[in-house]
Amino acid sequence: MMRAVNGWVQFWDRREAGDTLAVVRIAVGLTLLCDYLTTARLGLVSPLWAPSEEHGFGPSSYGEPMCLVYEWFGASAAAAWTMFLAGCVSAAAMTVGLFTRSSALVLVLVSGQLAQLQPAADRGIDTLLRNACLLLAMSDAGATLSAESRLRRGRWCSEVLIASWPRYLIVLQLAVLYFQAGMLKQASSWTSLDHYSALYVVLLRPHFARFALSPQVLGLFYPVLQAATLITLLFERGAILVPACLWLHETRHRGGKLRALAVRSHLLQVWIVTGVGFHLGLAVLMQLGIFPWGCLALYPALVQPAALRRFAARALTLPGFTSVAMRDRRR
Amino acid sequence: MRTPTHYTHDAHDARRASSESHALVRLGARCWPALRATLIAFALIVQALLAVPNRILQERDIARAEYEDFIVGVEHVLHGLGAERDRSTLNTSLMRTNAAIVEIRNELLAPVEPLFRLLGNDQQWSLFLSANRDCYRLVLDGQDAGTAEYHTLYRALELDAAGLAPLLTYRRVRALYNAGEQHGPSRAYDGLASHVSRELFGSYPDLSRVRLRIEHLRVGDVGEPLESMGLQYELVRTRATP
Repeated sequence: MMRAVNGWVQFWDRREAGDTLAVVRIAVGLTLLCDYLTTARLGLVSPLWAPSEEHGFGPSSYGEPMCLVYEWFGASAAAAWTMFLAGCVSAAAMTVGLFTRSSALVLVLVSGQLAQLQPAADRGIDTLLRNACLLLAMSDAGATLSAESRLRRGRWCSEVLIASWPRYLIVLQLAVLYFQAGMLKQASSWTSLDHYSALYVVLLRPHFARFALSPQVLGLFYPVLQAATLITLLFERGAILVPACLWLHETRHRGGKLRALAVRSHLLQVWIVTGVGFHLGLAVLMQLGIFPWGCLALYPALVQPAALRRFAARALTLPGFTSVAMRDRRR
Repeated sequence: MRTPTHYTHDAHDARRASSESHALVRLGARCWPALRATLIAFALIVQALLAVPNRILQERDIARAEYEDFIVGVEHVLHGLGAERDRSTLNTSLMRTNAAIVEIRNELLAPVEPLFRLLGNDQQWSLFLSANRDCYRLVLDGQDAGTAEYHTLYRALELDAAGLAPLLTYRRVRALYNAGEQHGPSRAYDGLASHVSRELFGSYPDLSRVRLRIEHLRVGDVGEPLESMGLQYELVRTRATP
């Protein structure tokens, strides 16, 4: 029992280089910033979040504030804009790695308040990225690839070791997201009851499909869509094994049949590639806004910092990349 | 002026205070990993509770084909265990169990609910959970002054004469009007109608009325065209009262 407790304490006390979490920080910050800028470009800040008396869509109003900021400072379009701008500045600061923890926390609080003002417009991806920002706020995600590192150490990159547990919890969050969504897919179109027709049906939904493909055209690809429905279910329900696979990979030096099988089967790599393909496919075929990009923003957490560095080093020595770099230097 | 004795006592106190604070810092450094692991364990338990589905089974859920498939499986298992139950008793037991689980979940989470509400933290995930064959399409019509006929300005994915697609397909706006099998558009649908109408009245001086409707469609067999089940949730705005 004590051995298990000590093991638990040691597991959450691990430290690692900050590259992976920094990439997650940048990707999440960029995704949120792009979404906020889109909201502003479409002229939707006041309509979405101002009280109905000031041309907001509602349901918030002078009489029904719906969030703490409105209760404390009064419901108004100015308050909505203040929260929105605070969100934009925080997202930008978190992206560049300036006051990372504070900006991530401000982002969570602002996003939470906006969610209360317009619950229908706050989607699952907003909740997912809030959860991720909460973890980033408790981490040293600004230790490297950040303005903080540049200001403190004179370099954008740093060798400082940071706590690993926030990255582990982001991985767990991804696993829970997919596993729960996969297990709850019990509607008949996700089963043999309706012949695994879910993706066929979803691609015909006018509000979500990107292309107006007729049922006749989609019908030509029906077997492919059925297979893709099955793969989606396997991918989502298999997510529960991802933390264990990561652990087996990380501890492969300890040997054992299970570790050897996990490494040889490339199960983890297959799952990651399937996920990336799944989300890119969604981005191409459907109009889901930041959903695919927000999920992909968390995928770097699946990569160990050392592996990320090896990949970056290899990418920088690719023949095409090297010749381009040399040509640019000659200029 | 301080005497050497006073100076000696002050220095001794200062050294003792310094070593006590160092000891506290060392104690904190030793205890922090265990405290952090405990906090993480607590957070994981709470998040696991948040992830327990919080939807209560309704009678209409019992009537669905997938529930029938599930309950037949349960009956087989009970038969194998020699504990058969009639369908009505099974349904009642399952609904009561589901309601009890949701109630316990909500009771356990009640102390931390205000914090999660502030942070917007949740673990309820649905990625196209109910890809059923009913879907909906927003239709926007305009009526010019002095005419009785409406002409369509926007039909989701098919027509966008007024350039409204970037606005109406934006995820936060779509969520306001996208009806579902178990719910109509959101409370903000009315406000959205006013906003879109104001935009259209500003762009089209001849327009006197704007009408929003949601068309209910049904996906048929493979290759069959979508069947229209009628138009619902109609809202009309006039230039005088957008």
